[in-house]
Amino acid sequence: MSIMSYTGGTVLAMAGDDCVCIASDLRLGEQMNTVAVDQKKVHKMSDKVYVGLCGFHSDAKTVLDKIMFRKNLYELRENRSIKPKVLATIISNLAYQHRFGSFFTEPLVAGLDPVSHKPYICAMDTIGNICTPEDFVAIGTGAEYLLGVSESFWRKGMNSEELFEATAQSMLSALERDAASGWGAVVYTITKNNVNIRTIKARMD
Amino acid sequence: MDGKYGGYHTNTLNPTCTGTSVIAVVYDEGVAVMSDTVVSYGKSARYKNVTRQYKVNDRVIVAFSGDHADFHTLQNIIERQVSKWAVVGQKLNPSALYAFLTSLMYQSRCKMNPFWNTLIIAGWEDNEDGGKPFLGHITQKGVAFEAKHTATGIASHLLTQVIEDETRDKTALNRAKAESILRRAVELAIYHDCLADNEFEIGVVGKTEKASVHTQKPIIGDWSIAETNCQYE
Amino acid sequence: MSFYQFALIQMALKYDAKHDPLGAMRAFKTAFADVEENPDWRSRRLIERQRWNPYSMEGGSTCAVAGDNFVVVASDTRMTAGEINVINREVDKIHPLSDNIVLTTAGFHGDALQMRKLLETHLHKYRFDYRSNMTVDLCAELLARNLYYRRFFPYYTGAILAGIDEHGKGAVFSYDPIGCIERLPYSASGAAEPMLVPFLDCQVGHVTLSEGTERPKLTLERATALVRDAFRGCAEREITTGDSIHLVIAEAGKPIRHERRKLRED
Repeated sequence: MSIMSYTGGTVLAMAGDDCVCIASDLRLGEQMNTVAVDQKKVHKMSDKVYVGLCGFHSDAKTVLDKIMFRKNLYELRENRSIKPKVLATIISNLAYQHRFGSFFTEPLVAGLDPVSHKPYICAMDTIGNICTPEDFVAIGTGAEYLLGVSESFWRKGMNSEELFEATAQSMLSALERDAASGWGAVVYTITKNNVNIRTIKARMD
Repeated sequence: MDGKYGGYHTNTLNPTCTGTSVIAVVYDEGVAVMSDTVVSYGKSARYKNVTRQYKVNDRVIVAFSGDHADFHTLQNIIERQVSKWAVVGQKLNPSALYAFLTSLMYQSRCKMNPFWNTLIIAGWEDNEDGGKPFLGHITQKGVAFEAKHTATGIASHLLTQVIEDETRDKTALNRAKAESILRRAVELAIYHDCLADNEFEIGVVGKTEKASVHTQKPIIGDWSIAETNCQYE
Repeated sequence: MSFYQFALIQMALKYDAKHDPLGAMRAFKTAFADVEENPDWRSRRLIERQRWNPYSMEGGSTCAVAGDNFVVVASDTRMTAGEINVINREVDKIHPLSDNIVLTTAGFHGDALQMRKLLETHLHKYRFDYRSNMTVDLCAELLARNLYYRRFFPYYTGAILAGIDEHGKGAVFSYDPIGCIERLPYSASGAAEPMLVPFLDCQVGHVTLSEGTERPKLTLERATALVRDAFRGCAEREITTGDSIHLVIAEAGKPIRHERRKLRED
C-alpha cells in the first residue's frame, strides 16, 4: 500500500456560475483501520478561499501549518485578504521547495476571488504542479471514482444549489466504492454572499 | 540433471535475427502487404534480399516481423497444415489459417515458449456473395484482430497515422492507390527506422489477382535535409 | 566465494572421481549448467525483471446493466498497445455466445479470445448433448469453473457474462480473473471500471438517493442512455477507452440487437 493511501481521504471541488463547491470525506484511517470519523480535509484560509489536503495525514497537517504561516505573513504584509490564485502559487512554491523529498500530500485550492468573485479551483501533485481546469478537480484515494461521475454531472453555468447537488451526488457515489474514504462528507458551497456548510450522510463504513 | 532451473533446457526468450515493420492495407478488391527485405542481427543488416512474406497458396500471404528462425518454423508448420488440407482436397482459406495461427501463437505463449513474431495474414476470402478481402494481425502473445489496415513494429507507432489519414472517410481504395500509400509509408520507414531498408516487396492478393509477392524498385528518397544537419560532415 | 566454487567443493566432497567418474562428471555438468544459466551477477530481482511477461494489456472498458426483461451490454471498440498506441479502432470485445448469452471482456485480448472459444465449444457440445440451449446461470457457473481451473496462470480478463435467464429476467454475472463470481444488477470492468461503477451506482443502484425519494424505473431506453453517458464520461478521462461504443441489447424473446455510437477518437 502506498503512503499516499495510508490514511485515505478524498476532496472534490467544482466550479459553477459565481460559486464553487468543495467537498471532503470525514474518515481518517491507518490502512484498513478507521481511527477517526470527523476529520475534514478542507480548511478555511480566508472568507472565500478554502484548501483541501489529501494524502498522508501527518504531512497534510504539517503542510497546513506551513500554508497558514505563509498566508498570515502575506495578509499582514499586504493588508488585504488573499486571492485563491495567489494562495495556490504559495502552496505550489512550498511544495516544489521540497522537490527531492516531498510532502506526501496533494493540495487543492477552491474559492472566489475576493474582489471580482470569479471562481477559482485548482489541484496540484505532491511537488506543486498546478492544474486549473474550468470544471472540477479531485484529489485523494477516490479521485479516479470522482472524475468518472463528475464528468457526467458537471455542466456549464450551474447556480449554487445545482452545484451543491452535483458535488454531493458525485461525492456520495465515489464514497460508495472507495474503501479508504467515507463516514459522511462535508460540502462547502461558497457564493458571493455566504458560505454554506452542509454535512451529508454517506456510507458509514 | 534436474537443476534448480530445469537442467539444460531453456526456452529462447529473445530474438536474434529479426525483421522490422510490415504494413498492410485493404483495398476494394484485395489486400496489399509491404515489407522490406532485410534481416537484421541486432542493429546490423545481416542478411539482404530475404523475403519476409510467405505465399501460402493462391489466396493467402503471411508476412511477419520478428525473429526469422521462428518464422521459418512457422512456415514449416503452415506448410504441413496446407498438406493436411490438401489430403481432403481443400485449399486453406485466410480465415482458417488466421484461426489456426492464433491458436498456435496463444498455445506457445501459454507454454512460455513463444514464437517471437507478429504475423499479418492477408488473403481473399471466397464466399457465396463474391468474396471479401481478409486482413488479420496476430501478436506473439496470441492477441489477434482483423482490420482494414494494420502495421507491426515501429510502423505501428509511426505509420498507422499516415495510412489512417489516407483512408479515413474516403471512398474505397483501388490497388494503385493502396500501393502508393504503402510506398509512401515505406519511404517514411526508411527515414525513421534504422533497421528498415530501401529494398522492399509488396505482396498482393485479391479477387482477380492470385497471391503474388513482387520485388519493388528501391526507394532512394529525398536526403536533401541531410545538408542542413550540422552534425553531418 | 562464488556459487561456482561452492558447487565444485560440494562435488568434490560428494563424489570420489576415482571410484565414480560418471557421477562426478554429471554433478560437474549440472553445476556448470546452473552457473551458466544463473551467473553470480544475476541477482534474483534481475532474473525476475528479465523474465518474459506472457501478458499484455489491450485496454478498453466494458459494462453491463440488467433490467426486468432485458440486458444492455456495452464496450468501447478501441485496442491499444502499451497504453498510448492505438492499434485498432473497431475491435469487437462483446461476444454474443447464443441467443440469450453475451460475454464481454477487457484486459488481455489473447485470453479473451481463448475464453470465448472455450465457452463456444462448451455451448456447442451442450447443444449437441442435451438438444437445448444452455441457460445463462449454467454458463456463468461454467465460466467460473474454467477461470478457476487456471488459478495459477489466470485468464487476465475482467469478464462479464450477461444474458436473459430462464425466467426471462436480465442477468449480469461479474468475475475476477480467477473465477470469483457474483450476480449483480449491473457491473463494469476494464481500464475505466473505477469511473463507470460509481456512475452506475448512482443512476442504476440509486445508492445516493435518500429514503422515500421516488426512483425512476429502469427501462430499456433509460439503460441504454445511461450506458452511453457513462462511456462518454470515461472516454474523456481514460486514454485507452474511446473510438466508438458497441452496444449489445438482449431482450426476452427477441433476437440480440447491436448498436454502435461514435466516441471521441483522441
